[in-house]
Amino acid sequence: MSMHRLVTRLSGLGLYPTSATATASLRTCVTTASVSRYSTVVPGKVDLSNLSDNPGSKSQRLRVGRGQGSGKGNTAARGHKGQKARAGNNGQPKPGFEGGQTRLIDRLPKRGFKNSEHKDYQPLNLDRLQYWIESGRIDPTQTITMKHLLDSRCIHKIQDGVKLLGDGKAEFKIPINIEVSRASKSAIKAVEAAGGKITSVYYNQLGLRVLTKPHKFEELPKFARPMKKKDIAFYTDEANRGYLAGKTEIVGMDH
Amino acid sequence: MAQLGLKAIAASRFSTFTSTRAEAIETTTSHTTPVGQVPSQQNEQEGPTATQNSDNSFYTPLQAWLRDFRTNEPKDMINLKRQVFGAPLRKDILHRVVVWQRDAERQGTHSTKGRSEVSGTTRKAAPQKGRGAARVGSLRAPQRRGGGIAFGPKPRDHSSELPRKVQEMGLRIALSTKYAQDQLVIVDDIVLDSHKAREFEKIQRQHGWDSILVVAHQENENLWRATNNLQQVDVTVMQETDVLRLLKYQTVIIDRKSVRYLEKKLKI
Repeated sequence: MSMHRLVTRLSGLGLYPTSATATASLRTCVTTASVSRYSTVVPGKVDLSNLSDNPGSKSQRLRVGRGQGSGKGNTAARGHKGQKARAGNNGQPKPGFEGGQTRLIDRLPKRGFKNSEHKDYQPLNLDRLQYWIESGRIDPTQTITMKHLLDSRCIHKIQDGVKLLGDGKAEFKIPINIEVSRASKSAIKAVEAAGGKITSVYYNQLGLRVLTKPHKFEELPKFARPMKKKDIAFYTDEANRGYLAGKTEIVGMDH
Repeated sequence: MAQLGLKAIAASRFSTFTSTRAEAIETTTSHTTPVGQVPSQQNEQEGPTATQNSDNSFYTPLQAWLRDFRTNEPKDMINLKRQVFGAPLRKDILHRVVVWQRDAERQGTHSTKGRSEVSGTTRKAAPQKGRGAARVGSLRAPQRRGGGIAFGPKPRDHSSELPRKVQEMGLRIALSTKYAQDQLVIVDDIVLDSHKAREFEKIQRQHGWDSILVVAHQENENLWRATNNLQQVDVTVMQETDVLRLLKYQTVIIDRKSVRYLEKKLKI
């Protein structure tokens, strides 16, 4: 709004003295207008000296065992004697404690082992991907990364990555350029038969976070390259469409 | 960051936005009439208008003067988003944000020595029996002179937590409070010819600005050097605007790009 229109409006409201021309008086009028119309101001200025929380928003901490006058003096709100009156675990036994009898978890032997190398890849089948593209949820003209898959809820969680699988390969006809962690042989065959391209890209946990949530980082860290022999072998293999295929010098495999 | 020094580093702990996110914000868009031009019909369409901001047909944007930094002369009018600069006053929210900020500012380096840390002998002070007096063990027990402190302060982190949405609401309220109290001066651009405090103080005296916070859209070497030694003046970049300093200083000088940035970041 121009200055002229403001003045017209203010004088219409009887706020702007038509005879006055000084800028200073206009300035006061503008302030008064905004104050009276929108009531975002209180009498006196708000600053650090007069802030307070709502009354009743904070309750006083209960001080137990500090004399009879407090009402919580003698037994300190714990009642008389017994397990619950004692110190430790607030009077309650630990979870799994069976009154001194050997606990179930101790009675049964350990079994099996946990493989620290194990990775869980989210399976994604070609029919689902095709449905997502056809319903306009994924743009096939761009390179499809796991972020696009996750954002469009084609996959619901990312775990250690995404593996593209071949269900619906016979009907898959869309040429796409897709980057996933792994792809099955039949998926690679189907995508390439449709004129598309698959790249298997290595991501560690940090890399997945960078990929899916870049806004969480002030400075984007570099993507790590595979360090384990198994991973290096996988991602340098052309058969897996590894992103490092033919770049052995990068991963230190040239000697 | 390096330019703005310690003040900025301290403030950055309370920054709600990261620099990466800041870059993504387009700050170059001008919503007001270019300087020296007569506002045309087309220019009036820019900035917050009734149709684009609210489905309420009674919506009117807030307005403020766009001033010249050096002369303080009004150059133009600027439309402000009501969500950000016209929020209802909530003193309780401001209080919570200020307490949260000041909690985090505490160094927490206070320290006392307990009975195990006070230096001195660990020998039993008197025999357990046969003395005809009370039993005495350690000479460094809390009840003894020179003994340790019972339950004394130890270094710890005092910082508290506040939901991000409350932090952002606090910023909206603080900016609105400044606007409503006529303590918000919106300037076209903050330009200083020299890095001398003398020049800045001259401008300050001219406008009658007592204690001020300058919010600039980017780091400004001249501005920082000129104000670094002035007790009543603080400088911040727009990404690091915080409630405590908005309220601590009487007047807030903010440039147009920062206004647009904050409007975009703080919109609901």
